[in-house]
Amino acid sequence: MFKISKNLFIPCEIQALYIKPINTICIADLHLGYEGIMAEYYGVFIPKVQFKEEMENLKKLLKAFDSIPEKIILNGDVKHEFSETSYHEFKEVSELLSFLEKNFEEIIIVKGNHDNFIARVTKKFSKVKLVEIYEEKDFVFFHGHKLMKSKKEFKGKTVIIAHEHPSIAFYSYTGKKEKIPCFLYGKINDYELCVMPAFSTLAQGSEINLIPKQELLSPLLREIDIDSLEVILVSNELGIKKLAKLGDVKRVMNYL
Amino acid sequence: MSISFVDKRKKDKALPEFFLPYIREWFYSRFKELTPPQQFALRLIHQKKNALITAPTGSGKTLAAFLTIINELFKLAEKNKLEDKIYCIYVSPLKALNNDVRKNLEIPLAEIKEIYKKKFGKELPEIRVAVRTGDVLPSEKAKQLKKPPHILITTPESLAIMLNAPKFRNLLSTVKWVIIDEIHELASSKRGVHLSLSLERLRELTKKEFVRIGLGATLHPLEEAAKFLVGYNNKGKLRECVIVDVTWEKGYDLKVLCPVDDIIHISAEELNNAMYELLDKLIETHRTTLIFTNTRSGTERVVYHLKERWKKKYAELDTDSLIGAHHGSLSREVRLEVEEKLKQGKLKAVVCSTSLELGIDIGYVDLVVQLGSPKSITRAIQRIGRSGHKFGEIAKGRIISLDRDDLVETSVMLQCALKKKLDKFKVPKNCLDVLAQHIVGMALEQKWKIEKAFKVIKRSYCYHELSKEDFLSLLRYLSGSYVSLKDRNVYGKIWLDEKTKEFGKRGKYTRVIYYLNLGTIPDEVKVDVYTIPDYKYIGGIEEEFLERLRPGDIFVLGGKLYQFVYSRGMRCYVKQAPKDALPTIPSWFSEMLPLSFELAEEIRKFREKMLKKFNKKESEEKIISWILKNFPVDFNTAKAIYLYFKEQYEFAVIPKANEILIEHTEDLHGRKFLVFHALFGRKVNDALSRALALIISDQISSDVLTIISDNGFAFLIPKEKNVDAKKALEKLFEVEIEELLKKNIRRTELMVRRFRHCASRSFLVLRNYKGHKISVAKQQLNAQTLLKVCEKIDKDFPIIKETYREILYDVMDLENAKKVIEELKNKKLKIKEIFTPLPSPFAHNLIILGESDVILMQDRKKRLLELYEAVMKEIEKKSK
Repeated sequence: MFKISKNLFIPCEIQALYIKPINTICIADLHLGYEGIMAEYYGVFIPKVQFKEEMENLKKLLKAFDSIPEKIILNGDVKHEFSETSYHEFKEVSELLSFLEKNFEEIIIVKGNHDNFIARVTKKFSKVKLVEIYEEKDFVFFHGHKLMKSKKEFKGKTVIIAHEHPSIAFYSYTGKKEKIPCFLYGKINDYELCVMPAFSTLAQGSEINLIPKQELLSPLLREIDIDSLEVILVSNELGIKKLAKLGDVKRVMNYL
Repeated sequence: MSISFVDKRKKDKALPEFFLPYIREWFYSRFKELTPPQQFALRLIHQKKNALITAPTGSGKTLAAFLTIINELFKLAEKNKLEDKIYCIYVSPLKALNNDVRKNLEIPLAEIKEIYKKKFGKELPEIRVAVRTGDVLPSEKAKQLKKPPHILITTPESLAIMLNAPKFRNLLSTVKWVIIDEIHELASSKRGVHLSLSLERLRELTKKEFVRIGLGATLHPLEEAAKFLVGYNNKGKLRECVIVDVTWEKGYDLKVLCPVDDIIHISAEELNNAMYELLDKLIETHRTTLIFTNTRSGTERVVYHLKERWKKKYAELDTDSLIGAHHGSLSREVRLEVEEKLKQGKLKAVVCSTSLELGIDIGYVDLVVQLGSPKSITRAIQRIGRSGHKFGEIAKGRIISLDRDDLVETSVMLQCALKKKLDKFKVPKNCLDVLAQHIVGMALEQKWKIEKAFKVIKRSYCYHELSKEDFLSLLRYLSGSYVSLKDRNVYGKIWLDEKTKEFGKRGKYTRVIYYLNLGTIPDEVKVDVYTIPDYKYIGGIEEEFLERLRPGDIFVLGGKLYQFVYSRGMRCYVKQAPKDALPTIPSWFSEMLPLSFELAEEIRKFREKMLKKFNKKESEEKIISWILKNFPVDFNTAKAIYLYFKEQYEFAVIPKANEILIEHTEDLHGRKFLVFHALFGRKVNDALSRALALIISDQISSDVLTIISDNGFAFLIPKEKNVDAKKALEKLFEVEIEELLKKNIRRTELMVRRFRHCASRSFLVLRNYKGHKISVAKQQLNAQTLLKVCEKIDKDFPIIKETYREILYDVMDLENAKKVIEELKNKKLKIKEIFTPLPSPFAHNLIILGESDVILMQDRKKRLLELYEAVMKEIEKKSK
């Protein structure tokens, strides 16, 4: 396991977090049904590959543990968007939740901006709890599209958000571009912050080393000094690699 | 022989005997005699032969195509056998001109009818002509359904729609003649490929062959254009076609002009002054001059300066200016007004980028001036052919060049033109994206046997060599085979049954998707450029330009230098360029047409001829007079060329025709360059330089910046590194260049943008869907995700395959690049390596290429002069 801090770990080369003091796994931004929505509403016919990939990744993730933790938190945007028409879209969420119920005692879904209708599915699952924000010990989980609390209340806590889908973009003179998902972690004033990469293998994210601050999606990130956060890359090909503080990454990569 | 040339000895001196007397009367009341295309075409079409007719505009070729058809229609009208059916379809890619064509038909038809009435006192049934394009109102279209026109005028896209219009398509089943105009444009583009399939689908509908008539400016090889026009019959044999090329019946008076006798020791301002003086003199001494500038900004600049300098003469009243500008960025109204004035002879001169190259009859023009090289011999002939309105008149063209490479290039170009040696064009083959569209269209018509559909498609010249596997994989993709069965109603555009070997339509939206997304021209919008990190908007660039940018490239926008960082959707992010940075790509790069491979070869041969003269120590007078005797150039040009070669010869080496000269050098700022004098044209150099850049960066474990031009390419090498150039070139023999390039372009702007175009042509990314337009930015982002996923499913996904094909063989010229590598390998092409303290004269333009922007014209000239003087000093040192 890769150690981010005293309490936070990355179990394996998959975009997931393990929070040791509460023996909990956290994943975020699954965006299930992404392809269906894109096809039906936006006229782009992306073949459906994501669900299979995410399920495989989940299984790989569980294998990283000798004993699987009792609890998993889905930190928002389980579903990409709900369309009224396609009922089979719910099937994927159901299948996922069945799988999770088999492996965990408690499943907490923190609602994201895309999760308006998810209660329709979750009510059928007894182990699933649907919340806007989740707090346990010194850990605060919310999706990140809204600032759920006043920042004063973060004092002394570890705040874990998602929503941004952070990634680092690499370029070379021969014209190659690679995008690698990453965690952002650091101390902000009197609390610790961890921004999670997306579990989705498709949904577009923010190329955090390139995007101007005012174009970031999370209100919280727009307000703080994100350049002071550490960048930790997680990818299948690259493994887990601690890079540097975001500000230094930008400088070294000579983009700014 | 299926494709043959008309026997020029057997021409009709007068209107052939099969013409009705009243049509004969009409013709001779309007015209004195037959024009060259008419001398051959009228009879050929009467004999129901397919014909390709190429001639300059204003040669009466449109009438040559229509007159026999009109004659046949009047014969029917006389016998009262004219039915409410479409007999003739005229297709032109220029929608704007369709109404002109209609008028040009309706007037003679009315006049002929009038003559008949006077003669016989009887009214003949009317021969109707109508335009049907996207601009025509639905009410008008409904009228056409009730009372169909006998002659239908349309565009390739509208023809494709008609083939699927449930009722209207039945009216097409009686078509006997199809005229394709501007075939020189269509034969080399995806629009033409699209049309070629529509023609075969039309052929299914008519159940028998119709006569195909192709019209256009000349091109080479003509046989290739003829094959494109006629395609193959059901037995797999080429249909017959007779070629009538009367381009050369016109005389050509051509010359390259250089406005000053010393092009080097002169300031940019003086050179400009001299150019405008010369231009003014030319305009003054002719009635109407048409000026081509190659770029839109060039057009604006020239018009501005002419009016500024000679206010009284050209622009006394702003509204009644005697000089007009015409280019694609101007509004349609402005362009129409200029065209109208030009036709009426109210203008002294019109300046255009490329927009007046084809189409409209522009009236009386007695001189064509080309500023800078038009980059291809064929294009030079097409443009210059616009002067000398009537047949028998001579087409007069002058090319003004202000740069030594340009002078060499245009001199060789015009010599080739006089020898009727044209560069080659290429018909795009097996384009899977265009085919996808037609398969959907065909499925909407009826249920098809796979074998039968394959046969129809293979009749098109563009798909004759299509492999069964490609066809099947495309059918599978269109049927949504890559998603689960239940999703196929959304994903699938057709159903496919591989057991019964049939396919047909699927999906309730498919018909609408087909109508609203058909066509081959991608949506285009300006790309907004922002600086980072301060996020300031600085201006717009064309997407085509963005496509050419590689991270690290430095370019000029609004007079300042910026370095490209990345793009997202339709936004491009740049940062201030580092101090002393040198631009690597000129802003007109994407507008500028590439030099043809054939012309490049001619220039290489010219270089070798010059080398031999210097080796033989021929005198200045002798060489200059040789140039003057053999090339259509003025004295200034001949002298500038002589000096250019002399300096190259004395300072370094003049490369032979079969030689790539590799020069290791440093510029005046101490920057290290590796210059490849590889005169193959930009499309080939694009492919070669990308592959070499990869190999070289590997060799020295460091990135290299690349500059590409028609005459060669150069790498900017880090100071402390040394490149083994020979080894790098030899590495090219070992690698599979196609695979290497694919890897290289996979993550470039070029790939993601072209993939969007191909995906949208094949209905994978829609532009219009369920009643709303999808923004180009959104299309782009979606296409990028799509590309990622499709690649995972299948590396050879048909649309990915097509994207690579388009980039490697249409945007670049991998075919000829491979030829170059092959010749290097078997030593037909040799390598010569030299080390110079400074870039040799032939490298100067390449090294400062990025700076050839208007804004930096002054600086650029200064830099050139600096380089030149440094070289001259070296030469002096040597001779001491």
